Amino acid sequence: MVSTLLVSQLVILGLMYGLLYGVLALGLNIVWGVMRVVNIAHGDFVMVGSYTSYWAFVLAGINPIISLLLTIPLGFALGTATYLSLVKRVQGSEELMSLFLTFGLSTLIGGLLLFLYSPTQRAIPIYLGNLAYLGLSIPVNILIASVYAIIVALGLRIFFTRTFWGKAIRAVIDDKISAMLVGINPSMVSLLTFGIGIAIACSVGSIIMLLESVSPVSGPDLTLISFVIVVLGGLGNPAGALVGGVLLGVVESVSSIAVNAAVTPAIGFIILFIVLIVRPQGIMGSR
Amino acid sequence: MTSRFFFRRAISTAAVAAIVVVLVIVVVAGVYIYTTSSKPKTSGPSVITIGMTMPLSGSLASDGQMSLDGLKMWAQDVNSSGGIPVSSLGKSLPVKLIYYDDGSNTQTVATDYAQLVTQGVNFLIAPYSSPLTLAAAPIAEAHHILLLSHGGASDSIWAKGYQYVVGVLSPGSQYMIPVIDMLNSLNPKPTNIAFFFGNDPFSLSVMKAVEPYALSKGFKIVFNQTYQESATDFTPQLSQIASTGAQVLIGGAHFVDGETIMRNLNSLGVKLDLVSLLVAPDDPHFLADLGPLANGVTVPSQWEPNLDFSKFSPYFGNIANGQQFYNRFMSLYGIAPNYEAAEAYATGLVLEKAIIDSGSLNSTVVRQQLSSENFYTFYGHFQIDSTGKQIGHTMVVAQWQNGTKQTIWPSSVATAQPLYPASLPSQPVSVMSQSSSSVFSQLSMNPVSIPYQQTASALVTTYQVPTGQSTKPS
Repeated sequence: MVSTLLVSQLVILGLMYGLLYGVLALGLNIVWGVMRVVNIAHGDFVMVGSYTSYWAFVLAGINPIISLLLTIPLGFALGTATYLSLVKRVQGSEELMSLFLTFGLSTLIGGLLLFLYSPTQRAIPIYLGNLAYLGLSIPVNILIASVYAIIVALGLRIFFTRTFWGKAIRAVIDDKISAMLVGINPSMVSLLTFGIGIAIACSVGSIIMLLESVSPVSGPDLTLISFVIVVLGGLGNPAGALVGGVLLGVVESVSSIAVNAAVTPAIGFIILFIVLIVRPQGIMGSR
Repeated sequence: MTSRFFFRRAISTAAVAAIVVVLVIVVVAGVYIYTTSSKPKTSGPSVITIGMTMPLSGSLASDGQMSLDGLKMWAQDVNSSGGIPVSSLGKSLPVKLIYYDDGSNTQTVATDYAQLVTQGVNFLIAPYSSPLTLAAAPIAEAHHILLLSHGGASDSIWAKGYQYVVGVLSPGSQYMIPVIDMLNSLNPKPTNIAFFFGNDPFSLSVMKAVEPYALSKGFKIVFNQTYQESATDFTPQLSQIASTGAQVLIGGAHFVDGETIMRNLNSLGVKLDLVSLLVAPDDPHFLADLGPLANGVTVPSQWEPNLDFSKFSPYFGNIANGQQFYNRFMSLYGIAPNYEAAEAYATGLVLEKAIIDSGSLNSTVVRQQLSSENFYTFYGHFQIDSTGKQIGHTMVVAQWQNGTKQTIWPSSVATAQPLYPASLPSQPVSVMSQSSSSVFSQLSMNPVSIPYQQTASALVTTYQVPTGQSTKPS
């Protein structure tokens, strides 16, 4: 009954969406993993990126892909400023404190966006069509999103393995005390990490504008799905976020053959429960 | 020691006495304030307060704003004409709308309606959408306050035995019936239909009614699923629909998900002969957001600007016809009204008429009056059954054709022929049958042309659709 072609189509769609899920969760993952800061405002920073891209398009006709050049530095600046002014003060205390702080931040950003831009759903009408290949249909918008996810993942990998600060961040994840003993400044590492985390979040906001419409209250949904992916993939392992994202994307997509679409949002949590029972540290996580 | 004991006792006695005195003062003052403040109430209020929440943020914000704007326009019109005459009070009273943003959230609705009741509102108007209306209904019922529904269409609202909930719009079960009739009249007639509805009370009540009706008309249902409205991607399901050989997609729920379906269909390159979605395509933003992708999409509609019911009697309201409502709304808000705005305004008219005819501000009396009402407004017929469900009003089918929303069914009020197959607009349009319902056969043809340029420019001013010009974010 179910054709191989349809299953392949669904796997490919799931893979592409999964990569986007992965890069969505990447920023949250490194912030949580390195700084032990639970960033509830993650999705709201994504929305800041989305709205920046939206207005760049409306006011100057800038394509969301080009506006990455705007949202990445904006995100980094926003991230470092937030770290220096707020996050720094709760870092080192209980994780609950950072949760309170970022929850407040989330409410503040969501409220500000609502105040500035009204609750109207915003979308950028760019439709790039689809590539037809061997009977498969590959939407170009999603393809771009997944290619961007791969570029970010590779870029981060190079950063973490080839640069001093990348290695310093990894050292702090492994053992903060030893890292300090060899002269790594943990505040600098935190500053950099939060900046990069928020820069990725904002840039994903631009990419999301290629796929869907957003409103100021879309942020918390993105935060929730990011948390599921981070826990799925394993805390503090950037590759884990991608693996968790792809797993979620493919299962959601392929399961649509068997289950009603109304059940789809629950699938992420079902996978999460299974992973937590079988492998509590996450797929790529280490104890 | 003894004196100290007595001293302490004396203090405590004094304290008790003081407390008693304070209590007496509080009670007396309370009774005095209560009696004096309730006095003007018995002699008659100076304003008719109407309480409601609207989804002004969250997933239903776009629909909620349209509805609120419709109601505000009604209130403005009533007050500028001197208010509503209430015969039992011997005077006309202005109306005052008290509204809160419920964030598209049922829990907020429940809290806010309880709050509105304690504020002593005279009447309640339901929030937009069925789930939110269902959240408000039990509170209105418990306090015996009339709740008028303008945007909650689910049949389930009127299946719970509520006495105080009255619907102004056609219920969900009626939505897709004219679409099936329209498809049935096409030549060649499509055979394969895919159903893909939202998993909410409204969409489910639409689906429950259209399924057996489509089967009875000889259509084959090749796909049948429901989805969560909050989902942001439907590509897996739409890929499956494409693989089933469906010619027509019928489904949807509200605005955001409807747009997502269209975006996803386009990104997958799926070609269907016709798409008919609930709610979303009726909103002018649908065209602004989707541009050419909107072309050919149809929507069951509660109201379109070309409808003119002024020949029917008794006719009520200062709005002569759909065209006049359209123009008034456009000049007030700078955007074309959709049916949500019209049904909200009409809800105000229904309340107005029932207050005038009953001469009372008592919910029970006004509710009784509504049972015997049978009249027309610019929005159409009003008549309810014993449960409060609307049975007078009828639906039409609209379709986007080259940037203009045309009424395509029933043929007696149609401003254009159906574009079918919609994915191939160059092909000749099909021949329509002449069947039509009794109400519409009496209606005059009054085509309202809403040219794309006009609609688009209106949208540009309000919603900053890209034009290359520099506009300020709002």
